[in-house]
Amino acid sequence: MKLFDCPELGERPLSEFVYGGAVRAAPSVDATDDAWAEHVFHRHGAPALRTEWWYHRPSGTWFWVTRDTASDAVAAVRSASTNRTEENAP
Amino acid sequence: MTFLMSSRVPPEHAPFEWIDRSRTLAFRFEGRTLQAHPGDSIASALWAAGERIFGQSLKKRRPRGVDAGMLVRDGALGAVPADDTVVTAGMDLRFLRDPFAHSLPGWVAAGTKLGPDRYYDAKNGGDLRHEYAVRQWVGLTELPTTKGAQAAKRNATDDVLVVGGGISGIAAALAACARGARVTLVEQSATLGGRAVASADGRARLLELLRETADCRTLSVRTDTTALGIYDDRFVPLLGPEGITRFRARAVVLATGRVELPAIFRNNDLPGVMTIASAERLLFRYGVRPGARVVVMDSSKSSALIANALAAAGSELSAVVETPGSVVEEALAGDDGTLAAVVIRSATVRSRVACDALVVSAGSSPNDALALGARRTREAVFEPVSRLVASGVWATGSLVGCSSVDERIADGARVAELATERSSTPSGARESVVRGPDLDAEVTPTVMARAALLECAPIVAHSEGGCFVDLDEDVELGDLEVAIAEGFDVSALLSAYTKLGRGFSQSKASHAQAARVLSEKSHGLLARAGRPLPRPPVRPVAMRFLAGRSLHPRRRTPMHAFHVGNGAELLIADDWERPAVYRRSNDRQSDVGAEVRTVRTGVGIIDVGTLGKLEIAGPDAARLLDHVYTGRFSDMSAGTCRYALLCDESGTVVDDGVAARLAADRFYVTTTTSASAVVYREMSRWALELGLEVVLTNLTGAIAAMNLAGPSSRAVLARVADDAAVVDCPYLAARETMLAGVPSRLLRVGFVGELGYELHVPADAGLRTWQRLLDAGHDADIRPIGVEAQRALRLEKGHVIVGQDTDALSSPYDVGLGWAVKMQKPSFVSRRSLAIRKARPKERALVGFVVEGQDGKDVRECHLVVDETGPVGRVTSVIQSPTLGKTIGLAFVPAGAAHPGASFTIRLDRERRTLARIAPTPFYDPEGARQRLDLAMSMVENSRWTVTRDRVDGDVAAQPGHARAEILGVHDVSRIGRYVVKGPFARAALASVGTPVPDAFFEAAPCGPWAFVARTGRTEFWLEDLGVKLDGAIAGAYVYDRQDVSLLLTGSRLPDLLAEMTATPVDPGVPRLHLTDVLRVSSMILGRPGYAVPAAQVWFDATYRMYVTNTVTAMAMELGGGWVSNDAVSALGFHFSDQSGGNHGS
Repeated sequence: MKLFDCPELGERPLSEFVYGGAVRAAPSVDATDDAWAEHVFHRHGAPALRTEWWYHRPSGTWFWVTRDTASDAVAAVRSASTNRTEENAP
Repeated sequence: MTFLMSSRVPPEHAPFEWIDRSRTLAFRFEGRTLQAHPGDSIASALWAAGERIFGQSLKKRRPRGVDAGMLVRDGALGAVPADDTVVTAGMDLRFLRDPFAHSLPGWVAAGTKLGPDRYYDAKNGGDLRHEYAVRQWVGLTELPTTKGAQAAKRNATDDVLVVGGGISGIAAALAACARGARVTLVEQSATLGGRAVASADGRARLLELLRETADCRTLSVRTDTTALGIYDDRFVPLLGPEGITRFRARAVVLATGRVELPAIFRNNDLPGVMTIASAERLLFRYGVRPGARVVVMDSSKSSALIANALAAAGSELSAVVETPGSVVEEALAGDDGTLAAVVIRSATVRSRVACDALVVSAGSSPNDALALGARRTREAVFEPVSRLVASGVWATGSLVGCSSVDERIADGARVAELATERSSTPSGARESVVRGPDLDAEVTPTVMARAALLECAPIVAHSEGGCFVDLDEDVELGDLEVAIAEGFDVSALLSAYTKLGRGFSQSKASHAQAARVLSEKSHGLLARAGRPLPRPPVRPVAMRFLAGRSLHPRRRTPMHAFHVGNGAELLIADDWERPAVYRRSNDRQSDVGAEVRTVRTGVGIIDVGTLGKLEIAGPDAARLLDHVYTGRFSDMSAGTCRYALLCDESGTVVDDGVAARLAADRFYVTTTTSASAVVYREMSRWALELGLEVVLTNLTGAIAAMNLAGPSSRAVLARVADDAAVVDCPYLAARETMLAGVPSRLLRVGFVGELGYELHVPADAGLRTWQRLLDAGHDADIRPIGVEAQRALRLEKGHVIVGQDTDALSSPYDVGLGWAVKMQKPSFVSRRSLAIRKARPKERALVGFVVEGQDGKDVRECHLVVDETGPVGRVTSVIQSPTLGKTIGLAFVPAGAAHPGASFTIRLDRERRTLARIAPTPFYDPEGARQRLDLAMSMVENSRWTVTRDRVDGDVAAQPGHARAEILGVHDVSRIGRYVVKGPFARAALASVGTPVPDAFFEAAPCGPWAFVARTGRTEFWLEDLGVKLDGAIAGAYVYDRQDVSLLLTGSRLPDLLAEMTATPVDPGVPRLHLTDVLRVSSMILGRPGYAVPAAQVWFDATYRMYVTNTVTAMAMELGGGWVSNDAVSALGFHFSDQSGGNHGS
């Protein structure tokens, strides 16, 4: 079974994760209805190196996994909350 | 039988034998009692006892013996392979049943087919149904019916896994150990050595290596163990005598060797014909002489060793046939159906030589099933296996073409060095795949071509047939020729058409021979002929090993003991066990009806603890809810609650619940039973995406909830409320208050349409509060209400259940929930899609309907709504309303037909239709007066309902604490106080009470003999048994009591228990928290060093208490331990301050 090597947690099997789709930017507020429908319903399946949401269930943590969808090789696993600064507290 | 054991050679001829000659055991075969030595396979024991026929082949009824993949029937195990199964005392073995003429001895019909050709032969239009029937009859599909202990699956890990205990595998394992790696070496037979034992040189080198192996402390050897396949990230299930080990290594080295090919000539399946590998095994491993007069056929100049050994062991060597100069053209059967002679043909002469064994060395192919499986390719061709098979998976030895003993040892050592080098760092293990000739050049320039199918004996066809390519399926050369002629000239088609390689032994060798046939007949290149891709598992696995232990997580609310003690019929919803109806009579329907009437006229109490319960705290809590849900929550005042509807980005209804505002920065939200995990997960994602400062906590298992409903509920609640005024709170109020001394949350909501209070209390006080309410309601004839009555009650009110009355296309406007969407909000998840959908003409509508008359009783959920054109809708919910006395329900109908009073047609079955009338919802109390108002307590006849106060709790495995905690003890430490503190000021809160503030994630900082503080998240800390109590007085630090079930596990067998409980390696000697799945449940596990015995502590959501406690205890008992008392663990030095910080109950 596949392993994700998560920061802080260590290696965890795929069975502990929930797939959350590719990381995508939402259309701007003035996008057309067609652009919005594209965002909601259309998923590109072409093989690529892309970043995806993966949720580690036992710890309740979201990760960004950069993965080559052709070879299934994982290039990087980052915690999705690292960009936020909880350390701004004293 | 005087010649018993006469086939055994003296032990000096079998220096590496697997048998224990000092002992014998008795077993039965076809009713005769035979002797064997411990370690014998069924085949070697039979052969030693002079038995030559192990049964008949299934299709063509040929007598078969050793090395023919024969199955025999054992009373206890079912069909087992004779060549690979170790014989045990008392085995009662029989032939597989003979399907058509079971009274006749096998050889009478040898060479004839059982029944007409068309039964079997694909080329004659065979019908598989006949074949399945035959297989069933002969006993092939018989399953053992005795229930044994469930086979444990354990997890294990090491730096390097070496598969194959031949001389190159041993060399590889030792070389990896020498470089500091921890190594596991697996060998599928009983001892290491492989085929090196055949030569004197090999034996000498082997003895040297085995001495080193015995001295190596970082090498663990598993014999009788097969690697079943190589999966992602070097995950390798190992099948051993005890079951499956889920093994994970940083690097895998394959040294699986080669497979000897069977020679193809007429009657090549007679008992007595065997490959050189099989003859070596019989002689060197079991000390059994293959035959008295032996012919050896050699295609690779490799048979001198076995020929000499046979001669030395007392066999008469009748002839040596060296191909291609001469070949064995045909084997001849004697009167008893076994090998009697062979016909040898050379360029000039044809001669007949009498013999009772023919040892063939007809070439070999790489045993590359594991290697090819690891490559994840779609096609397999015959080509040499390269040394780097896939990322972290390597190959060595004769598998890659090494031949001499020295070459194999050197190659094993070299590959092991490369494997450990590249796996010594974590990044090395993840390094992307490098393969190809450059690396092979870097290793050793051996003759790669040797790995391909060269030096094979010629295929000798015969006009009368009987040249078998696949013994399992009785596929002959002629079958292949016909198939190829018909155009099935691709390996996969050939295999599918003839069933070649589909049999029990998975015919590794038959595919190689078929490829040769294919390349010859289709004039193609051998390398391109290809073959079906081998797929794991590489050998059949008993179902009980595959299935492992039965692990089905079950959740129960704290009131479960009450439910089962009061006649509740349970239903399973997701993982939950819930009371469907409390049976009071023989009439189930009247029990449900009585429960409904109780709520309408008196007071009932419903366990709603399965609802998802989330707390959202922090300055941005209201913003998050406004963004995720369709409603508006930012303008709520504290102490109120609102309906909360959740739609996804496409505007489809996905969940609903109630959101209560407890304070400016704290919300408490309920979700449907099945959605709690999903809503929590998606909310936390939105919080991340929007960068909101919120603290999310899933309290589903930590809080018990019950709905007290009915006209008399106010009076009942007043008797237990510490604050009498709280019962008079208005509709949709939310209060934090004390009930019977328990801190509670009270939501005044009306799901069932009567005056009602949803009461939320800490889980450990749930049962106590429930019983207090039942006591208080005794005069009012209170009764517990099951799920079925609850569903009927809500349907009478026309309330929608998300997921039952909605589907993947339902917008709020389709199902009458448009009022819950606040389009005035500038943005929320589903706003854009809902705006688009609202503007569109409505296509369908969910309407209430009534069916008058008897037909109504036959309407079911999912019955179609039809018109003259066909189906136009469906029924989503329907009941016989106990209150209204008629059939009511909800259905999707075309929007154009959704007028009150209009009728539509429901299809009941093929013939019958019934008319339904659209009725306004709610069906009952349309003004909703009853749920808003407090009616006078109605006087009902006093009841025969009595509350069973006996705590029914047979679930928890509470054995007395006599099992020895030093071996393996399980002790419940749930009573110890524990809580978490979360939020941006969590650190400050910790500092304010003077505890350590750990910096590193998941490290437990000790604060006393048992107590610790650990960082469990970015701004989350876990406090166990701390003594001091944080009360949340610091703003921005939120404190939550944990209500987990927690187990202390102690003793020397702890590593075995942990290996079965979780796939994550847990070292009891390191105080580190692991947040991982344990027994398929999300949980937390911690090594507890510093005690006299290895110890660990594990935490689970308390709703899994019964499941995890029973499962862990059962596992511990199998390992020689069990449930232990507090005295037992304190004797080992485990002391906790027993002040139950988290307990609210008795």
